[in-house]
Amino acid sequence: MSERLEVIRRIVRAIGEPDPPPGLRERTLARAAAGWARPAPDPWRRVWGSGPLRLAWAVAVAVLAVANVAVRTTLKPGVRVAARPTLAPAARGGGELQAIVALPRIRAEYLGTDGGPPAPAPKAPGPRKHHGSEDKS
Amino acid sequence: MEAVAPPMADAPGLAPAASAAGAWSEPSRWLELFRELAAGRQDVLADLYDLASRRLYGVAYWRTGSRDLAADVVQEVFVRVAERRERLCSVRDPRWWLLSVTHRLAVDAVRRASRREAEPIEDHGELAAEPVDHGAALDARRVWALVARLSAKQREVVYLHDAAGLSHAEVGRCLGIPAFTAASRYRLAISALRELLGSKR
Repeated sequence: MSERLEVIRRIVRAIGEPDPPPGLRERTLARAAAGWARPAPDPWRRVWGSGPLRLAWAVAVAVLAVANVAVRTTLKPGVRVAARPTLAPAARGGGELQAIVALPRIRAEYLGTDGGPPAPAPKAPGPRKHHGSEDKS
Repeated sequence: MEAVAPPMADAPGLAPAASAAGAWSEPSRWLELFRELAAGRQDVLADLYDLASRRLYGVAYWRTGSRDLAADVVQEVFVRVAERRERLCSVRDPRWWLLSVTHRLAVDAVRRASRREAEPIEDHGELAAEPVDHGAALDARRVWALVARLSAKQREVVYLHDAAGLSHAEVGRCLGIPAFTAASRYRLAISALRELLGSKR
């Protein structure tokens, strides 16, 4: 098997570099001379000449236009979008989430530096309710 | 597209190009040519063609599988050289720059041709698969038929490694892929050739 592979490799090497067809030299040099005489293409023209880049540009413009129209039609003029209060749901939920977030005070009767009312005593953790394990008897 | 007979082993010009290979391994000569082109010497294009055309044509031919497309690619490469001559002095290694440009243009040429004709490259007469005999008479035509069954990527890697004599790292550099990928692609190509040989036995 390896001998056969070696034969293939040798033949591939032998046929590896086919001669360019006759006349290619003249044609190539003539075209290159024409290219030499032309001014170098500027980058924008090259971008415009490239199919994929042109397509990407067209897609980007289309997406921007669609997004612009969508934003204009969904928003009424003069209406300001208020920042969504992210902590409000947590405050409304009270209880469990607030207990997690709020740090327990070590001294319940300590007045803060601003002289405000003493903070309420931390709630003693009550027995946990497990929703799925209620006694149904 | 013109169907061209595949090259035969005994045809003139098909022996390994020792002189071209020698010139290929002299980077200073290439740099000098590129500098002269950047300085505006148009006559140097002919020297560059004599030095590079064979290998560039080989890359294009092995990639496209068509003499016509390969000839177009070589012409396009030299048009690029002429148009971008002012920037050639910033090219670090002209050999890899030329091979990379050739590779990219060959890929584009195959894509355009397949879009135009919707014809797989293996259907071209010059690369049509034929029954393979592994005897001593396994000639270049039959190897070509075998090679034609490889994918264009594999053909290119086999050419660059076995025919052009580049290392896997150099092949990767030329094709813009990691050396490991080039080596893996080459290994797959060789095992595909081996399978093709086995299935034709």
